[in-house]
Amino acid sequence: MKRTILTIDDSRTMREMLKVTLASQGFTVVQAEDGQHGIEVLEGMEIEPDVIITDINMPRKDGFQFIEAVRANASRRAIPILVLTTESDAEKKQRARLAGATGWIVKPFDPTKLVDAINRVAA
Amino acid sequence: MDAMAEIRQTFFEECAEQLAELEAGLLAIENGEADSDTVNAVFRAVHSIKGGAGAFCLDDLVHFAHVFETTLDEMRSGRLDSSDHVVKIMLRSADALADLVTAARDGGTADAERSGALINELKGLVALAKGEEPPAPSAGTAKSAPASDGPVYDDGMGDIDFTPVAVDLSDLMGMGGDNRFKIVFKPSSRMYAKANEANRVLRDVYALGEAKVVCDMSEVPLLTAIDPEGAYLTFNIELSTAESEDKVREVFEFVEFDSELSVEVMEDDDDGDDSDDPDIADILARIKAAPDDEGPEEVKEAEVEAKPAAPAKVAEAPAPARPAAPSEAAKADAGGDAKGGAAAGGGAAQTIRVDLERVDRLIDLVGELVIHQVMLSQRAYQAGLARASDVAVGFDELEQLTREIQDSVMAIRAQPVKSVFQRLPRLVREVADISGKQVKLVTEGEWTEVDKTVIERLADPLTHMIRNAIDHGLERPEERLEAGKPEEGIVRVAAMHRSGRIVIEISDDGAGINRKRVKEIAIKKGLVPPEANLSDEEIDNLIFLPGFSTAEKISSLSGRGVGMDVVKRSIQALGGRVSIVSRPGKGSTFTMSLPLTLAVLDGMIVSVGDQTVVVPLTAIIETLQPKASEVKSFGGDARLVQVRDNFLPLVDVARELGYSYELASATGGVAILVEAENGARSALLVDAIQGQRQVVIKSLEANYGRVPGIAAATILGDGRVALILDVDAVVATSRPEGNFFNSGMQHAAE
Repeated sequence: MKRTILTIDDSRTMREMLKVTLASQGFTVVQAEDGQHGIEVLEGMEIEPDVIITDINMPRKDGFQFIEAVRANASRRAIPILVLTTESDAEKKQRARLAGATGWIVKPFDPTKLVDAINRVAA
Repeated sequence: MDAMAEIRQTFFEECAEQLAELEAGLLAIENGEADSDTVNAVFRAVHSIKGGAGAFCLDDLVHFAHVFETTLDEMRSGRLDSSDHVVKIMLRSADALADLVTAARDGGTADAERSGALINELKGLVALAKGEEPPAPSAGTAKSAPASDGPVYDDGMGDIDFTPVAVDLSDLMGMGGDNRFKIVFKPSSRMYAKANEANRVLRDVYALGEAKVVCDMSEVPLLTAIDPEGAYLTFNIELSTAESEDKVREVFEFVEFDSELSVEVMEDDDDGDDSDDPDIADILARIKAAPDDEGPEEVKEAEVEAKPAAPAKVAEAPAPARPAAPSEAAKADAGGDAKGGAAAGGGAAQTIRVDLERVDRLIDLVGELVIHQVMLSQRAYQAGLARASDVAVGFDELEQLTREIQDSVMAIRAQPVKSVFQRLPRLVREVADISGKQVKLVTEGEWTEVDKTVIERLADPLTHMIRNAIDHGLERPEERLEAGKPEEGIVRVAAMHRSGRIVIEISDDGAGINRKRVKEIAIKKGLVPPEANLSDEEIDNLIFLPGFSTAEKISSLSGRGVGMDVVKRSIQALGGRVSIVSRPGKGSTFTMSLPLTLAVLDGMIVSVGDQTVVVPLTAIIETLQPKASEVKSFGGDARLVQVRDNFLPLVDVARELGYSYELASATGGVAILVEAENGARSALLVDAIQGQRQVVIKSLEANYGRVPGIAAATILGDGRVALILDVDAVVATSRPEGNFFNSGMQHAAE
């Protein structure tokens, strides 16, 4: 079965890039434009995504807030969440981790490494 | 590759939006209207550009955006005040960033020296915020850097290690090697709560080399005492790999804070049992031990892992109270909704992107719908349908509905003029810089909506008029002081809706038009006869004549051989008008008036010969039936009609359009008084008026070709095609050797 990835990024460029990269690897891609939208999209999905990839710096609800909101629902603690961000500094990683992120990928990403990262966390 | 090209295009489109947001935000900060959301939005704009640029390996752009972002981060965190000085640097940086984006898009090069200098200024701000000495300003710009490819910037940013490199996640299928590690890995329940799994981590360990994993299940309690979400297992791993310790630790990087982990280098032939090695103890990352359950129990299945039960099942049971942050997060979620919605403001409103072609197709179809609806009801009435019948009522309702659909569809194409207005501050800064004048730009009504095409084609004339206002309108600072005005001149651009059109006023508080000088030039250039007796208004409007340029030498700003006549023509091409009002010593106001849409037009339907012609309602002042006594003929075919105290030229439309060779009788028809763009009035002679209605404009050029005197075509309710009159052109060609205004109008009509 095709795996579904929910990507959340306020940058259209990034969303497109993730979509093209992931779709070419056989993933089904669902997109959201910021953390708040991500929650709404997630609520509307019939089958939960296999992996969520989210940006950190976003309007309305940032990546940290998004992750916390997802993890607040006990049934969603098993969804791997990868944080995708240009920040390479430890502080952001630590905050993402505390919020409940499964892992992270540093932008700009290499497509094969992106897919590796997904395979690494996906069931 | 194709997909990448598309993403690239998306990136640059998005850059344009981000740059606009950046500038708008900075201007708001400058005016003291900013809150933390504005600063965040500004930061995000630069951040997004950097992110995208990194993906396309646009290194210059990444570097500049990074320094800019770092500075903005200082402002965001409140360490850097948004003083005038700071915001000015940021505005200039925004301009430089825009140039870098353009250079990246078009393959050109941006001014490396300027961006290098700005980088130093930005770094100076960061240093200031951190309370450090600013870096020496002169050294380290592109110029003095050692020779290398591309611009090299001063590298005084050691503390910010931005290296756009992806984390190396795995080099799959490792083999055994000389490095041997003893790893103790004890996941906590928190690790599982973040969707990390011990078996996946172990899989990665196996990929590094030869690994022997022993699962210690001594802490697993009796089944009745098991917490389904608890964590009870400890993995003892011996790994032999060619990879370094760092690489090994990397496998655990996602989980090290949610587990007890120790990684020890095993000495040769040492089993590595002593875990008291002080160095290693330091590295131990312990946050919180898993719940202390006891009762060592023999469990036979070695593969069993104490991980959370399947999520779905947990969800059905009432969720147990969680000790950690989640409950707080849940509140934040609920509260965040309202706050998030408010914070979104105009920027992140609910929108979808639609291909313009689809919208235009829809507009076309709705146009057809309107035509067919009118046709249908006309035929029904012709066939004897009673006006009072239910069907007639239905037709009325249908008509109402189709009109509403039409308006709504048109509204899709409407956009606020903001997209044009927000380019103006930069323009004003640049023109002010070059001309050495101090200018404050005031914009009003930026949310006024108008058709997208109108907006796009508005940008050039507007730009030119603003350049003109600063270059010719405003005085130099010293002259202003002498005249008792503040040094800083004001250019005001205001948009508003007025009687179904959009009106844009560009006013300055400069010296106003020097009428004496304008007249002299016009006479010198042969644009007006020397003896002409012109009103102030007429003199002011001389600047719209082709070949007129008041600048004694062509300046780099308003010059370029483009005069106000070109501005006027491009506005007229949009069905618009432009005029000027000037008060000596007080300034000038240019007023542009444009139709809200290029898709429909309110027209008067008239008969000319055996044809039906549409006259745009906006040009019409009044209609009348001339009496024989009011029509004066003088020489040839030229006729004048007396309207109250004025004599106006009478234009025989049928003759102008070539429907008839004979001069029509003036008394048999209707005279339509029209006003041309320059304000000159004429009377158009037509046979009869059929009515007044909104018509859908169909381009003649797109379907056939350009015809002098005809602006476009439309389809009437009865299915016939009617031509839409180009009033200016018809009036102009009817007066081949009239007064000086004609040269302008003929030009416009070409």
